[in-house]
Amino acid sequence: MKFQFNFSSRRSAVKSYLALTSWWYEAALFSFLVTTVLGWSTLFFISAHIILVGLTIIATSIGAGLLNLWLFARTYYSNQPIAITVKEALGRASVNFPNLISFDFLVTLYLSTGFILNRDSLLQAIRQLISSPHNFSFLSRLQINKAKLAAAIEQSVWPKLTWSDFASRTMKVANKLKSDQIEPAHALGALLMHPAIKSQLRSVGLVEEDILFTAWWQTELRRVIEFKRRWWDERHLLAFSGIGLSWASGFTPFVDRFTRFPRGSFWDSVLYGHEGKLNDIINTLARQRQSNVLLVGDPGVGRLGIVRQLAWLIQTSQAHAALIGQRVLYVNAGELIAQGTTGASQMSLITRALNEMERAGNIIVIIDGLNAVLGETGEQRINLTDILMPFLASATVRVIVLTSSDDYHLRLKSNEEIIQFFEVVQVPSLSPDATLRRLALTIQKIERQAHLFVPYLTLRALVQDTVSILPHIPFPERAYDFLEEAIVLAQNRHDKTLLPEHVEQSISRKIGVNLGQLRGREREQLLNLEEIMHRRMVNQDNAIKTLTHAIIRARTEVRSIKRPIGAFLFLGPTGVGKTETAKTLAESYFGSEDHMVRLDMSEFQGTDSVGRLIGSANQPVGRLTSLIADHPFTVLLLDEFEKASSEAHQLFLQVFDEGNITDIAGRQFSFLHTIIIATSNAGAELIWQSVKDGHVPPKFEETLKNHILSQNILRPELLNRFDAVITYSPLSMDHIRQIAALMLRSLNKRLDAEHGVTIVITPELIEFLVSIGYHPEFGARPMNRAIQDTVEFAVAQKILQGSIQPGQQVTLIPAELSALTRKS
Amino acid sequence: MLIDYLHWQFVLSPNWFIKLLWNLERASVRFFSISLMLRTLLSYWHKDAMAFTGGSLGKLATIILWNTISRLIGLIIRSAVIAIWLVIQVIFIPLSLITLVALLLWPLLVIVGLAIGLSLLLV
Repeated sequence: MKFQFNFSSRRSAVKSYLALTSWWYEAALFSFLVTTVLGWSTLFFISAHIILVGLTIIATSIGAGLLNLWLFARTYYSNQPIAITVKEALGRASVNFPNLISFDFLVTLYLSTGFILNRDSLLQAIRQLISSPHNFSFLSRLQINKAKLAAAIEQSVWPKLTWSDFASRTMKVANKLKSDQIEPAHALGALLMHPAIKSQLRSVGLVEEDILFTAWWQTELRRVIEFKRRWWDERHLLAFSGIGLSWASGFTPFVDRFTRFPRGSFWDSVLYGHEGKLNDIINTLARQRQSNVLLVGDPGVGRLGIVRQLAWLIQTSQAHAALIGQRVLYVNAGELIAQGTTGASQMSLITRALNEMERAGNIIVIIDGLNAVLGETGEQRINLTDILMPFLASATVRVIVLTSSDDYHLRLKSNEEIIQFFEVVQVPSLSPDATLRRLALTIQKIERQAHLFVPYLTLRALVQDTVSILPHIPFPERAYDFLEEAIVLAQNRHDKTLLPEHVEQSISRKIGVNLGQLRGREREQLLNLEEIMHRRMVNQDNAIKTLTHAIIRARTEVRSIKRPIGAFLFLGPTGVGKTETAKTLAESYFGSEDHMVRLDMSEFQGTDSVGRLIGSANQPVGRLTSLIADHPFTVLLLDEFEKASSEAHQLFLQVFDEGNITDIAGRQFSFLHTIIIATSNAGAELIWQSVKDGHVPPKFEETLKNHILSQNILRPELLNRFDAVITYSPLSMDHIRQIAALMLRSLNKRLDAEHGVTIVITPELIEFLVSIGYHPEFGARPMNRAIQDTVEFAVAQKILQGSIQPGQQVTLIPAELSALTRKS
Repeated sequence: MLIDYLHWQFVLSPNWFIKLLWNLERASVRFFSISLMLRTLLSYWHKDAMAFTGGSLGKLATIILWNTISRLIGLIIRSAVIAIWLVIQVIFIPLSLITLVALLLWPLLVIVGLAIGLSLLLV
């Protein structure tokens, strides 16, 4: 697209605006207005001399004239519709840039360039944009220092930038944010997103999406403020409740005793992400029949915010014409039922309440949890269902029931009698993006109350760092929970700014994983991962190399935020170190072996495998989902992966692709912070035949993959989702010797810690252990047993006999140990 | 600038002001629920009525009396609301029209004011 920069049509407008809103003009206006007030006061209260009358009338006329022109400047130019929208301009071959930009931006450009466009004026425009009051909040939210930014842009961006390039980039940002016109925030966003400055922004933890988000945030807040200022708008003038709307409807004195809207949260005030749900509810309520809503969602998902907004819209007659004059009552069903002592009296109370509401004729009743009304017991449930049904069918009472996902899926969904009267509106956990936007739009109120400044990176941490933890608490509640905790932490330290570190610490306190340390350590761990793993692993150089390279690649190059850290398939015979690798990885990457969880996939072979993994109607808690909920930062070891059913494999396809799964109750579980390792003995025969002395033939992984596919052990789409397929070679006798030494060293550590004794690791001892613990087909596994049966047993005997004391070193003689094995 | 000013003064401003008046008028109708008041002028007060389910003539008379009183209460209160709204209209509409005329004549009033002021000084 070709840009023109013809400012002639808007030059005079800018000049007039600047003249009529300049400080001297406003000072003159103010002086004349004060003179007018003083003049007329004098005329009324002191003296009405003819000259004074003449002067007062002149001052009044001049003041009125100045006011007239000032109002013209203030209201005319900034409200003028732009000649062409950004969207329209995109389809044209040539466009005049000044026609696309907002009046504020036009003024900013005039002040810096005088509309003379050259290299120097471009630099002036950049400086003006950075220091413009319109962009003050933009930069402070990103915590970017103005002077440093100006210097960086001047050095890196400006030499490569032309006016056309600047216009084109600015227009792209405005288009991405679906804005009709180009605002100063879009221009600053375009500068910050320039490739030349990318690395500098990355060094402070910012990427393109962050800049784009902040530009959206600032323009959105501005739009909200602008709207609030327009007091004359009909949406403001007509937003109230008329008097006497309920005079033609009946009283509800009995029900009123049990109605109380729960206190709301700050984040209830903004409905971002749930607008569609609110519309669905309004449309259902406005129907003539079947106008009842079952609002399904877990506590914390924002159900109350939706019904609160609904109540406000109905009260101010903005929801729907059919709902004008309706009263929204939030009935505390538990309190109502608690008034009755027996089942019969409780039913009579419910009947009385329902009768009263039906008679009133204008009630929309909200009940939190239908189970509270229906009860759990069989007979009562049947009776109440019979009582409730006529009311649910009636057009005079509208019912909104709030229920949790569990209750809906496990109980209500199967109750056809009741469910037929409801339109089900499901409110799932808010997406991370929508949560971030809702946080951004509500944060100002929270800041005012907490007396803290919350920069963008803190908001991002609140969402990004919590996305994979505590999945039973939905978004946005999860993010706001941590926000509140972080605020308390910052307030206790008398900090004025809420930093991402506060969020990290509140997460660390809650789940015991220090994200800050994890991140700080990650780079170092990644660089040294291969070396760290070799300290614990014998042989398997090729496997470790492939694994560490794949992890480094996955973390640093093309890592998608929506995938697990890595997903690997370990293939090899039994006892060659597959599980040991997973443990070592957990220790070296997450800091402890405890960060490894294991699932034996051979248990998930039947048709119910998916239900057992993610939960089902009969078994609400799934094995996989509960494991990942409890251990979000983990190495997930899937033993004997090939034995699981194809449905279970399909489930993992989603995990590898999207990094999350949704359980039966609609809760989302994230695998973003997990390393998934699937192990399998499949192809062990081929490995035995092909891998000699630990040397894996070239391109053996491909051969192995083809073998697995040809045998239908795993489907190609699943096999291709693994970041790497890693082959474990069988262990030779020499490897077993090294493993024996490693195991003995590990035993020594334990003995030293518990009893203060150690054993002397001699070549004879190792040879003895190898002689009884080397079985090539079982790898290193028999060695563990051999050490337990001989060395550990012998040491235990000596400790019991009191023949060794703390601080002593024990030398074990193979002949003695040999005798032990014969005895056992 | 002059064309912009004339456009603003004689087209946009009066247009905006008329829209404002119209919205205020709608707001007053909504605030006093005039449409509902007229539709339910003779309705029972809060549906407070009794149904005759048989019995003596005396009981019927009592029910009729009670229901009439309920309607009467409704009528009085609703009429009062409509009356208050009408009084406000009587004040609001002329004031709005005067303000609209003043807004249209603002530049002229400035010139006339200056002329009067100067003439008083010169006298």
